[in-house]
Amino acid sequence: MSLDCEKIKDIVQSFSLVEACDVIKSGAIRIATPFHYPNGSNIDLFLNPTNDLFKDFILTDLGQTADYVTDMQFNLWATKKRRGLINDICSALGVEQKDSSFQIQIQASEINALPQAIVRLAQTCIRATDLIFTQRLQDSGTFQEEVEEFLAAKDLSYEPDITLPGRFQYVIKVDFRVKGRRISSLVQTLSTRTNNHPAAIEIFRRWYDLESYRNAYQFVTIYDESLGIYREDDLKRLSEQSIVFGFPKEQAQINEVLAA
Amino acid sequence: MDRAEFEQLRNLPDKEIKNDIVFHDENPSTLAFNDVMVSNSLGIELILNGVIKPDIPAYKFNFSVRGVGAICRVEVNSTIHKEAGRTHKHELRYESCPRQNLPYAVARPDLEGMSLEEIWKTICTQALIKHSGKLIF
Repeated sequence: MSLDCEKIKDIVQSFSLVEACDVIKSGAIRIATPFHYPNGSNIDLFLNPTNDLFKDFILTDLGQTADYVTDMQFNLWATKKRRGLINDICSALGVEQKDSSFQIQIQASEINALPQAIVRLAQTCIRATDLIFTQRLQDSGTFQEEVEEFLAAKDLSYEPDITLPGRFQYVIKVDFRVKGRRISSLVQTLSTRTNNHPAAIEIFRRWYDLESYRNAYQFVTIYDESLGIYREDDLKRLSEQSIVFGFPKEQAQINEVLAA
Repeated sequence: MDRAEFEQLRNLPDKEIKNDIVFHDENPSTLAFNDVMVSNSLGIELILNGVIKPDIPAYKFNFSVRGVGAICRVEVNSTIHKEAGRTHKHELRYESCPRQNLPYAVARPDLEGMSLEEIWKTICTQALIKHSGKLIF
């Protein structure tokens, strides 16, 4: 069978963006699109009439994309970096964010643009969920982001990636500065998949060079205990300079110390 | 976690949730609860989170193991999942399943039309979970 552009157009013409459609309890129309979340579930979009004079519409995912990633213990808006990525995705596709939902406003006079809106919004949902995979590919940044997500989830007041002048005139980078009720903390994270000894020594070096700040801050080292074995002497050495916790196992203790 | 370990955990008769499960307003379209511990004699950190979408209505109960990911999830009138439809149960079949957010599911038409309390009671009975508290909205 030979194909040309006209035949392709004929074949594709019958493809529908609506695999299933029903009306939900609120009166909105639920559209099961042919697009899928990464686990194979269809992406549903909901068409809601607005309550204004013009009888416009809002096409929304009703927060189901955020629900999807929550099942994987992931929060799309937990860190500044993720919020920036989500903003970039939405900006590129002309999609709004509201109350953990993605949405597109459609004027009544432009309802014929619904197919394009369905494609843009579904594409946003897919790109947003794909952040889970792109974040996993980044090594130490992923653990620091996990810790940042934890700090945000516990409503701790923090600043990421701060720098302080150290003992020997070099600037020392600290992963987080956290302000508790009475005490502020400097936090370093430790997570490398291979050979974590050099990383542990580097953090020890940073704490040593920040000695002059010890009266103003408590020093806290948080290591990724899901990665397995750290050298005992590395953790003991770090314990002499800082309070050391394994994450996520010691989340409660970390929260207690940082919130103090 | 592999399938054998999943079945061992699923079949453990001493799983218990000791406290009330309290739903909070997550956003205008969602009621949710997070991080409810399911105690068990294997000492596995089994955690439950759940979602209600009252406008639909749709319900979801998601069990995950800390450090592993989601291992079982019941969804009622939720997104269509392949041949299993809108009301289905996802479960771990292979070690890769948590990483893929549970791609396999079976249809559960028996749960359609049930109230949230009835769905939860069915889950507890079939998953051998004793819930000593209540669902609170």
